[in-house]
This record gives sequence, C-alpha cells and structure tokens, in this order.
Amino acid sequence: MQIVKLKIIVMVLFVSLSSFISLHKYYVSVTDIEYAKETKSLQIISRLFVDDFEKVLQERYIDTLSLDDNSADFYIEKYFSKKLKVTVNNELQQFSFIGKEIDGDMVHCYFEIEKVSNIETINVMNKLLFGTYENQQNITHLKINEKKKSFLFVKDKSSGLLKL
Amino acid sequence: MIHYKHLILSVLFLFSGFTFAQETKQEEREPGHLNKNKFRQLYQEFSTPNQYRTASGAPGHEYYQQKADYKINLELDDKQQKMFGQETITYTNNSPDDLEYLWLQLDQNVRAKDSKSPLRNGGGVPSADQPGAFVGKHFNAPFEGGFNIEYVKDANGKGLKYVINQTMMRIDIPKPLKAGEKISFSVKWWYNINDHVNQRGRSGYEYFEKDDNYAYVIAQFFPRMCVYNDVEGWQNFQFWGNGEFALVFGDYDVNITVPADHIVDGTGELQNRKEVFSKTMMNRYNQARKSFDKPVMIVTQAEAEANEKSRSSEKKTWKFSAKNVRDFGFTSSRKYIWDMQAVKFGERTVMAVSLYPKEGNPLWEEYSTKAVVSTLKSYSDKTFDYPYPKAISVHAKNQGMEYPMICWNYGRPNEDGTYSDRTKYGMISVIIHEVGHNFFPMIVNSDERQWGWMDEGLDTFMQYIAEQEFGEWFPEAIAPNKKYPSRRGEPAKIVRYMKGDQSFITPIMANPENVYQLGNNAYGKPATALNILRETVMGKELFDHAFKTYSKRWMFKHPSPEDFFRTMEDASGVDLDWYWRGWFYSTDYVDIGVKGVKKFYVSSKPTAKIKKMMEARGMKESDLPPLVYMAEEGSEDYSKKLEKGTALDNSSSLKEYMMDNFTAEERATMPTPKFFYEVEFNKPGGLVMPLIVEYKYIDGTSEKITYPAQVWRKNDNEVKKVIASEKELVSVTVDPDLETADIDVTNNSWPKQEEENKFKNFKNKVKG
Repeated sequence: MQIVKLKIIVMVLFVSLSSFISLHKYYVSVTDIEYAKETKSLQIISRLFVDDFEKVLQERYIDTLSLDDNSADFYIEKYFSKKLKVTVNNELQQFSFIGKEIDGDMVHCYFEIEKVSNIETINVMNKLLFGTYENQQNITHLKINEKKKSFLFVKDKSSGLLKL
Repeated sequence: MIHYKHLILSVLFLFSGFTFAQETKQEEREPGHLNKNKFRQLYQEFSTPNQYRTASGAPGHEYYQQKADYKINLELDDKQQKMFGQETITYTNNSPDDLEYLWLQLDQNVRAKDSKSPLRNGGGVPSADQPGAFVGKHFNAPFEGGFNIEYVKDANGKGLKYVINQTMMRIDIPKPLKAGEKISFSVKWWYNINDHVNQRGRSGYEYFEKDDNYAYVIAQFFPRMCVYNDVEGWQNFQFWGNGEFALVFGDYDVNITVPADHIVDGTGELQNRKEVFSKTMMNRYNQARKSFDKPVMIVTQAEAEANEKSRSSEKKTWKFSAKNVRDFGFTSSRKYIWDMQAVKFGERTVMAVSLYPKEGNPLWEEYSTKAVVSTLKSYSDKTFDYPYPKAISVHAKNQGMEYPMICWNYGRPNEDGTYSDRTKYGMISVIIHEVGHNFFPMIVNSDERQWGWMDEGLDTFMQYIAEQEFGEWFPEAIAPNKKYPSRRGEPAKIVRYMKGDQSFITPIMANPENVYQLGNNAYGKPATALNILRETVMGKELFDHAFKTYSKRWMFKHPSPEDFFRTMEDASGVDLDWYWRGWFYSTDYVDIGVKGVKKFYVSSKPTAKIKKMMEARGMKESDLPPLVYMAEEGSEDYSKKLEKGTALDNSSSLKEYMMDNFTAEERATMPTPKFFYEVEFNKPGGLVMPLIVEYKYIDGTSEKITYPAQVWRKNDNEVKKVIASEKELVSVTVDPDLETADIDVTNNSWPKQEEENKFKNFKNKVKG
C-alpha cells in the first residue's frame, strides 16, 4: 500500500446538535480521478460539503435550488464544466455527468471521460468553490495506471500536472 | 540424560514460538523501558479513589453535592426584547468545607461588548458569515448584550460585595458559609435579548417579519450557582461559548410575566393552569392526559394563526414549579401551536409536548411529539424511568439545545410546506438527541464545561439506539427506508474522522474549548466507541447492565469520567482499561490486517529446522522423543505425497499415540484434521481491538472467530493463529461485517481482494 503523502484533511462540518458551535470551519473538497483500463475512461468522483455547494449553486443559478432535488443535476454539470478541467496529452477533455448521491454532509458527484488511451500527461485544474470560499482547499488524487499523485489546490494554485 | 532433557526443552521452545534469531547474540544491549503495555491499568490517568468516589465507580460513603433553590420573578418585554429578573437563591453547603465566597455563572456576558469570547479564536477572514453576525462584527452594530446587575443583596436586604470576572461573578460573603449551612441572597438584573437566528446563540428570539411576531427560546438567562465539589472545587471555568454547563440541582419556583396573548411553557409543572388556560384549552388538556396513542391539540393551527394577529396590552403570569432540576428554560410566543400526548411510566403519567409556529408544519404536527414519546421510552428502557412530569420539544429555526424538561429543535419545511428527507430526518434526530439530553446531562449531571463527551457522547450513543427503535416502532414514518438512517453510531461512519490528519484530532478526554472538530470529538467518536463496546467487545447484555448501573448510580448526581469508566468495568467484570486508554485517551485508530497464510502438513520426518538444531547439539534422530513434525507446503520438508494422507497417515508418532490412548470407537468419532494453516495477522493501527476473523472453506462453509483483544497483549504488531481443518481454507477476512471502524480495509483479506470500484458500482446503479 503506497502512502499518499498528502494527508487528507477532511474536517467534517457538522450541523451542531445540542449546541450552536461556531468552530473554525474548514472548506475542503476531495476529488478522485482514476483511469480504468478496461473501459478506457477516466472516472471522476468529487466530494463536496452539501451546504457549501448548495450555497454556491444558489448564488449562481437559482436561489431555491436544492441538492436533494434532481433538477439540480443540470446546474451541477454546468458548474463543474467551468470549474474542473482535465487535459490529457494537451487536449482538453469533455466529461459526462453520471449522477450524484448525498452521503451525510457530503454530496458525491460522478463524471466520466470516455475514450482515453495512451495517457502521457494529464493536467487537472480544480477551482471548485473558489469563487465563494476564500479558504477553500481542493484535494485531488490522480491514479493513472500504477502512478499516483495528490494535489492540494488553493486559490493561488489551482492546477497540476502528472507525467506518466 | 541431562543432554536429552535440554533437547526436549529446546524442541518445546521451538514449538512455542521461539526462533533461532533469538539465540544469536545481540550486538548492542537495548536500554530498559517503562511499562508500555497497552493493557496496563490506568493508575496514572485516573484519580485516586476516596470517600467521595469509590474505586468501583459509585458515589462514596461521604459523597456530597450542593443544593441551590431558586425563586425567580421574570418579565419579558416583547416590545423591546428585554428580559427582567429578580431572583432569590438559597444555597446549601453540603460539603465538609467552609466556603469563603460563592461563584455564580453570568452566561449572558458572553455577549457583552467587552466579552473576550469573540477574541479567543485566531484565523483570517472567514469565508462566509451570517449577515447578522457580519454586521455585528464589522459594522459595530450597537447590540448591548450581557447582564446588567442591579443589585446583590443578602436576606436582610443589605448589599453584598461582588466581583465580575467575565462570565463569572464572585460574591464575597461577610463570613464563611460553614459546612452544612444555608445562605439566601437576591440578585436583580436585566439584559437585552439577542437574535438567536442571525447572531446565533442557544438562547434568544426569532423575528417573523410577515406577521411581525417574535418567538422566544430563553435559557442560561439568569445568574446561576457554579458547582462546588470534590473534583474541581468551584467549577468556575469561564463560559467561552463551546463548553456548556456545570450546574447544581435544586428546586425552582419561577413566575413568568408575558403579554396576555403569549403561549408559554417551560421547565417544571404549571401551577396556575386555570388562570392562564381558556376553558377549551383546559378541556383539551384533560383529554391529552388520557391520550396515550396520539397527541391532542391544545392550541390548533387556526387558533395560533388568529392569535398571531392579536396585540394584547394585558399581561399574564405563568407560574412554574420544578423539583430537583439543574436549570430552567422556557419559551414564549403568540405564534405557538401546542400539542400533548400522555406516556405511562409505572403509575405516573408523563406528558410529551410540542410547541411550534405554523412555519414548522406540516412536519411538526406529524413527527415532533411522536419523537418525544419514542425517545422517553427508548432511553428509559436503558437507564431509568423518566422521572420528570413532562418533556417538551420547541421548534427553533436552526439550532438544537437542551434544558431540563424542555429543548429547542430545528427542522423547518420550505415555505410551500414541502420538505426533503434531510430536513425530516434531521428534525427527528435532533428531537431524539435533545429530549435524550434529559437523561445525560440533566439527570446524570456530568460537568459539561469540562467534559463535552460525557453528555454528548453518551447521548449520541443512546440517540443511535433510540433512532433505530423509532424506525422499528414506526415503520410507516421511515418508509421506504427499512431502517432509520442514522448519521452517527455505525462504526464505518467514524472512519473518515479517525483516519484524518492527526494534527487536527484531539483525544476525547479533552476540554471542549480545546478540541478540533467538536462534533466528531465529543459526539461521533465516543458514541461510536460505546456502540462498538456494546455490540462487539462486551456484548449487549453485559454492556446494558453496566450502562444502566452507571445511570442509576449517578442519577441526580455529578459523575466524573472515572466514575463512568470504573462502573462499566465494575458492573460487567470486563477489564476495559485498554479500551478507555485507546479510544478515549489517545487518537489512535483501528487498522488490523491479514498478512499471510502458510499451509502445513503433518510429517514423520524432522524438518530442516529441527535437523539444524540437532546438528548443533550433536543429536541423532533416535535421541528424540516421539514428535509430530509440520512441513510447510513448498518448503524442502514438503513432498506431494503428504497431501494424500491424513495427519495420522503422515505421522507414525501421532498414530501410535492415538492407538495407545484411545479406543477404536473413540478414534472413529474424533475429527482428523488434514490441513494446517498458520495465519499471520498484523496491526498497523495503534488501537488494540478484538480480532474478528471469518475463515471460508472450499466446501462453501465458513466460521467466524472472535479472538479477544488480549490476543495483542504480548505483541502489539502481529499475531499468528493456527487453523487445523479437514477442509481446505480458501479465504480469510478480518472484520468482515465492519464492526470495528477499521480505517483501511484493503489489507483485511487473504487472498487480497480487488478493491471495490465505487465508481463502477454507482454507474451501474444509475444506468440500471
């Protein structure tokens, strides 16, 4: 088991039970991008805090938008296409939205980039939620064939490159 | 012969796990060390038992606690949102000590302009603020919070000297209050009520612009006695905002004067129901006292909506009396819809009560009182019968907070009355949690200021059980879910926290002001730790008895963490020091894996290892006693032939022994294992836990063996187990049902299982 150097700081935001608590709040998302040989596709899962993401989508698109609702999917896709960019061998990739699921405080969003082969370089730009949250950190894990790399993207550094 | 004996000893040692490596001389002598064994007792961490608190975890023969009785007159100014109060406290010193001064808590001062609370946190510009909080911080909005103390007087009306240190007030009494003596004194005060929705807070008002009304949820609103006890002396740790309350039991008589059209409820029994209820309300109330299956409306939504438009200039005084409570809270508004249902405990009837504005419907009329009833039943079953006359759930927009007999809970539908599952289950869960707080810490009165987990952790643990029971009792309320979707409690749900960055994790045994991630630290992790202890380590029967013993021993008393830890061991006969040390005193995590499996056959021939030893000692095979040898598959000792025979076929020593000691009939009934496996488990994680293993065999059968945690007591890193079987072993899985919060399950299987592809699973689900 390879040790991922960058430790994941997932500070779970909690709806405070039994007390209102204004602790220092962490703004973190985690995105996994993994190459699947058998389908020749890049599989992407992004995990964001429901309340943060919902707020961003409400501000940008519809102020009554709810992530519990399927009508949000259109806007999720639209938002991701602007904020998450994957470039393979210097060519910007289009991804398709598979769906989302809510798990406690987090929403998991699934995307796929099909027909990818012979990856020599892969560049990821991840600006999810940067517009709204000053301290947003986007942890991004790449796993291409046997090679793994993790990035911690912040506002001033939002893209990284992995050479195979 | 001496020679021969030595050899036997050596051979035996060989079998008991010593290796040749230990026979070679070490180059450097290692330094000694203190006892680092994870099973050593917690003598250093625990305080020494004494006459106040025993080593068994029970109150000692000289256990004492102070008493504070309050008579309070309150007036709520709904026009200016001010609270006026005059209180007389009678304080009884049951301690063996003379007290030179008295300490009171002035919690409202956390909102005073000179409060140090907002200054205690570092950090930059937060990414987002509630507008109210933002204005409060940066526009210097003139909110004049905090207590205005008008006087502190003794029983004869003579002023007493007092000193205010932030949220604490010391009263300098003229002569010490001797052991066993009482003192009475009065305090008059007022303060401006804050907006608890926009400025955030556990107490305050919510303003409803559409109908121009306020709903008040009022708590920690009067000067309250600090706890004085054998553990802390005066518990006068400042109220900074996170660490909640440490309070003394006593009797309360509280008169609350509000506009005549307000609906009020609070801690204690209403003394003048006939004066404040209409005839209709009185009739409905009498029906509710007999309605054990569903709530009865005391004030309907239509009536509440009509009342919203009223603006009475009259006043009404609601009189409450409560015995043996540690605090007092109340709610007041024109907007309230009110329902009640009766619950039976032995001969007593307890009222389950809900108050909510129309904004809470249709969710609240359906689920609030139902959740209150369910909670009282679940918690009583595991602790003691709910001893108070009522339990109230009050709707508040965005907070959950508990007081004796009354709590505020969130869960507001959208304006059109629709609501998501997240809102619905969030609401039911918070009601279960806050009503559950009546047991911990309102009755089992731990020190919240010092130990957040003692009430939050125990309550969240019980909340999980109560939620699951709610799901079982009201399957139609949770449909289409089969079981209640609990957010916390299941071991897998704490993994993300426990495998996180260690620099942002604090042991559970820490003050709530000083921890990262209070929600996980004081709620999620202790709840999960207790759940694992109950379901996996101790078993439900032993755990439940011990937990109930703790609850009953410390009901209406002030337990410390050790009282809990010790009672759980004392009442169950299970040594748990290792569990408390790991889960509560450290930030270690669970990670146990299976490292490898070796296969052996029984053989008649000495193995290479034995031969090497014989050579070293100049022995011949004939010098050895009859021995059964084990040949590892694939090693030089192994031959294909061994696979064909049984253990008896392969070892003449074994066969002879069997024939000498057992009859043919006996031998026929004894299983003869053919396959022998040495399974090696490793433990990269610091926590010791039971080793739960599922062995699967070639014929499709499997067995689950739980080796006690003590399996790690002599080697904290790895342990080997031998499996002797008639059938071939095909797989080994550690913690197959995810009971232990193992943070890395990729090392849990032999042969190594391919990692589950979350993406593929989801895609298949979505695409059908």
